[in-house]
Amino acid sequence: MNADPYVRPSLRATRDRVPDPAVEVGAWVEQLEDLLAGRSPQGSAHDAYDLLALTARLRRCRPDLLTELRAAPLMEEATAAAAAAGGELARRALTVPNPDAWLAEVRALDDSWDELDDPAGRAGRAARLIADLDDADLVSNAAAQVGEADHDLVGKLGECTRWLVDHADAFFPASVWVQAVGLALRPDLPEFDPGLARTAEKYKVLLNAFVAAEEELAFAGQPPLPAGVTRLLRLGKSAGRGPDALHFPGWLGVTWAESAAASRPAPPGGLRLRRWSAPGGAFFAALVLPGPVTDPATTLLRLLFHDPAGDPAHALRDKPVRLASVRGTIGAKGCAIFTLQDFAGFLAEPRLEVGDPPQVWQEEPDEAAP
Amino acid sequence: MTLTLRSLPHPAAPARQVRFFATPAAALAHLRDHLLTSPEAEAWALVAPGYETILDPRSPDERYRYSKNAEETGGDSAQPLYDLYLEAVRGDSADADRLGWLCPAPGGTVAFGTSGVLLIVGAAVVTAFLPGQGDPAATRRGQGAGPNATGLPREGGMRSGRPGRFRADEAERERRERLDREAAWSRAQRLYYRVFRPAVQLIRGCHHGQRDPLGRPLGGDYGRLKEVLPTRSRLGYADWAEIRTLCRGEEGNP
Repeated sequence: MNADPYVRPSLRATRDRVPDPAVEVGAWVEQLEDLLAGRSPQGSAHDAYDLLALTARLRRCRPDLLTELRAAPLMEEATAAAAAAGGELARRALTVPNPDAWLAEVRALDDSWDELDDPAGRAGRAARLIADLDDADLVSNAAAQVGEADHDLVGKLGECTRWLVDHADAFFPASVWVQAVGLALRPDLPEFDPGLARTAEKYKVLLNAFVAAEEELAFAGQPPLPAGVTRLLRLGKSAGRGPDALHFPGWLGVTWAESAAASRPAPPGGLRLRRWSAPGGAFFAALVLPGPVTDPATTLLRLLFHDPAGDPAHALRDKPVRLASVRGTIGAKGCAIFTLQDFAGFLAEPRLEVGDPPQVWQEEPDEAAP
Repeated sequence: MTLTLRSLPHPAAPARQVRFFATPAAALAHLRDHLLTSPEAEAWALVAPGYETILDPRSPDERYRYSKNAEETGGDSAQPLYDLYLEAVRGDSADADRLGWLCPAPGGTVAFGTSGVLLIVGAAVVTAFLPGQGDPAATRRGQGAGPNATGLPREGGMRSGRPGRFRADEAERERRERLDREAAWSRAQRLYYRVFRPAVQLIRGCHHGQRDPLGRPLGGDYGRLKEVLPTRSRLGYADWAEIRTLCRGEEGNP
């Protein structure tokens, strides 16, 4: 029996840990941040609509994911803003959804199935149409909860949902996106909030249709997995183990790109600029750390040397450097390049030494640190 | 006379110069599709402030006339806009080299800079644009509409408003008021919130959007940049401003 109603482990992309729910939820968090900060470039009706939809979308998410993305304070703020505006917010939001226009758009997508150009465009369009219907469902549900149920809209959204159910395979190009959204949903949603769980039923329908579609593809005899995908699968396995598999100094803040689908949350950290200054302040160095990592052997770490004006430190060309015991050389453009793999197993402090004889540079305070 | 093509350093191998588009026709198509099409045109005006000395990016009529004129003169009349485009792309290409915000892809090297310009470079620059400035399908519809086209791409379909209930005029007035209030923002804030951040969001979204149903990468694969960009929590406005200053110096952070 499948413990998570919104995850289909048999889907190849899920099996290969391609869908990353943090990507989608992170984007929703940023949209909500902008909305609450008054940076939305749209009118108040669309703002009201997005406030209700985004808040509900995030309420449906796995708590560990929200913790990882530090979304709790934002959600509290959004919930308070929605509560303060009350029924007026819902009434305003309900002027936005146009189910007839959605149906016209989605039928056009279905009619263009034979056009094989721009598969990425098709995937994006299919995902947007699902998200648009989902938002309308979420807003309709939120309005009903504050006594502003709109039965005409509910009926029309029901027609849209029926179309989606009857044509679920038309959304197959968006399969990876749907899997990512499914991975973001809390598995106990039906117990947590039955109303929200009803809005998520569409994902179960779509996922079931995609399982059937993949089985058909397999039956038709698809070519074997390309070597690159096989490699990604292997990397995904080691990446999922994260620091248990490879030990890196904590100050590098390594995160793992494939860890989102793992049962445990990703380790904290990510990119920041580690900075040092030469004795006397004639030069500075900044280490640009990478984003989420899939392959430490090909992930480059660049240590940029510059003068106080910010220009590359050409005067330091060919000087040896040692960063946390890892040796390198400053190149023509004032940059020493390491791979992340170089630091595996070194748990030393971020001590930077430059030149021969080596001079120890002073580490600057990390202003970006929380 | 036709458009004079120029060159810039390859982002992954700066000693090597590459043409800024292989042919004048390709360059003109990119000017039309990106610098002269709303809403990307307004974003380009933030990336390259000299844009507004050439034409008003907010005026559909001016953009349409400029595009038609460029077509009729074989690109000669569009040389100033092409040169401005080149300088903006050159800056972001250098950022990509310095920050390592680049990766190999089937169409060439994909690179991304601190202004939010995404470029793909093969034997020549293949494309250079500002991702996240609207739905491509809506943009194509807008190009077909000619002058006087209005509305936001994200206000189509389900979000287009319920007939008889949605006040489109009121929404447009509120939107304009909001844009007027943005005049109080610094140019750096507008560049970050209106151009750079949407671009990063789109790149991250490509992680799912540019995959076939089995999870295999499709086409241009901009999503690969996700692996070399900072994480979301490390790319807030303050982080970006610091990175931008590192690349461009104080003058790069207007």
